[in-house]
Amino acid sequence: MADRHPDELDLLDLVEGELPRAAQGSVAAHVEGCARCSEVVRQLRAGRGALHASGVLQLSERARDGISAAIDEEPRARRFRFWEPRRLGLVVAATLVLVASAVAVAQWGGVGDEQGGDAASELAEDDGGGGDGAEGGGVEGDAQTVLPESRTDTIRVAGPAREVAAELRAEGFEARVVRGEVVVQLTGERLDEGQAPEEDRLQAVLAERGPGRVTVRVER
Amino acid sequence: MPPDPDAPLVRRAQRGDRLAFERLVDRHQHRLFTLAARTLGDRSEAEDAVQEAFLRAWRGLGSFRGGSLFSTWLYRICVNAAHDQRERRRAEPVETVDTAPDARDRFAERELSGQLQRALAALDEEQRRTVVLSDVLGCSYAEIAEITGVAEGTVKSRLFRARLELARLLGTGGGGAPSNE
Repeated sequence: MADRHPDELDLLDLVEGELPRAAQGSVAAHVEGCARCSEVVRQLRAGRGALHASGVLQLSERARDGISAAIDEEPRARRFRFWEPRRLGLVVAATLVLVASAVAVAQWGGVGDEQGGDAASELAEDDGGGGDGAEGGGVEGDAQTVLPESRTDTIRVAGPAREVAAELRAEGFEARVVRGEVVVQLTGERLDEGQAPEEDRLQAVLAERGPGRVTVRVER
Repeated sequence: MPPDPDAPLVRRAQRGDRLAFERLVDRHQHRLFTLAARTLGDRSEAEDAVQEAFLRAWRGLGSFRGGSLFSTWLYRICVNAAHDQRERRRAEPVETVDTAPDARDRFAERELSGQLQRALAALDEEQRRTVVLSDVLGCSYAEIAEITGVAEGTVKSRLFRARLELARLLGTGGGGAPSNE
């Protein structure tokens, strides 16, 4: 056995496979010949194994639906913020253009009025339409601004909503209960040969349930 | 940092795409629940903490710049939400109103009343969250350091102590740590 025990955190690194290659040999050799350190390594492995074997717990569907409902009650995730650096520059630029336009109007008798306004609106449009901050200057109405080409249909079937959503998920659809309605997102993904198009499969599943009071919102 | 598998969905969600965010919730719900449940030791409180964590994430998506993995950012929010939940319980104990449990609830209840959870409860909060992040969720030292806001050395030290204590409490360990004699 070597005279000096390795640092305890080196033993942890050894168990985790995080020990630098240069140190691996000497620490491993020490552990092999040292009853005390090999016992610590055994305990570290046992402690890790106990939790690792316990695995991941599952959140219930009821709680999952509660998350969607809570987010539903929230306003938009992001709002237009003037103080964000990228926006601030645009706001300042737009302001300067407006001021310059006002000066021009004062000097030249109103000829530049329309031009100044146009320049300012262009800048504002650039900001709303480009890059990460594309929330359109705080305009409400997610679906229209985010998914401009989307199409939504509603169908009413027999409930309850949670059961309808679960059945659709079992059939491979993205389905969620939002405010008591079932929202189904069709992906438009290419299907395997021999499988019915997803809209046909969806219709088949919903037809099986028959008409009722639960609204199913189909988004594309 | 490895490429973030959540990045495309995060970008869509940051533009306000609610369904993209729902998919992120679907991806991470169970792991967040495990983190909260193992830390708090109570299913109902863990569900509240997870809901709060996702709400905070939704509200704060604009501030996520991709400097870490999205999951790391989310775990940090969840750790804070679970901590706040614990503090609230200490300040004003409330009766939780619960609905009929489903199969997953019952499984979680059973897990959280078992020997392993009792052993976890004997650790201090920092050790508990460190060992769960490492040994259940598979986070690296660096990720845990970022999530819990401490140095990597502190993470390793907490993990070392937590593992030995768990082994002892579960009857799979013997003596303590070696001294550098």
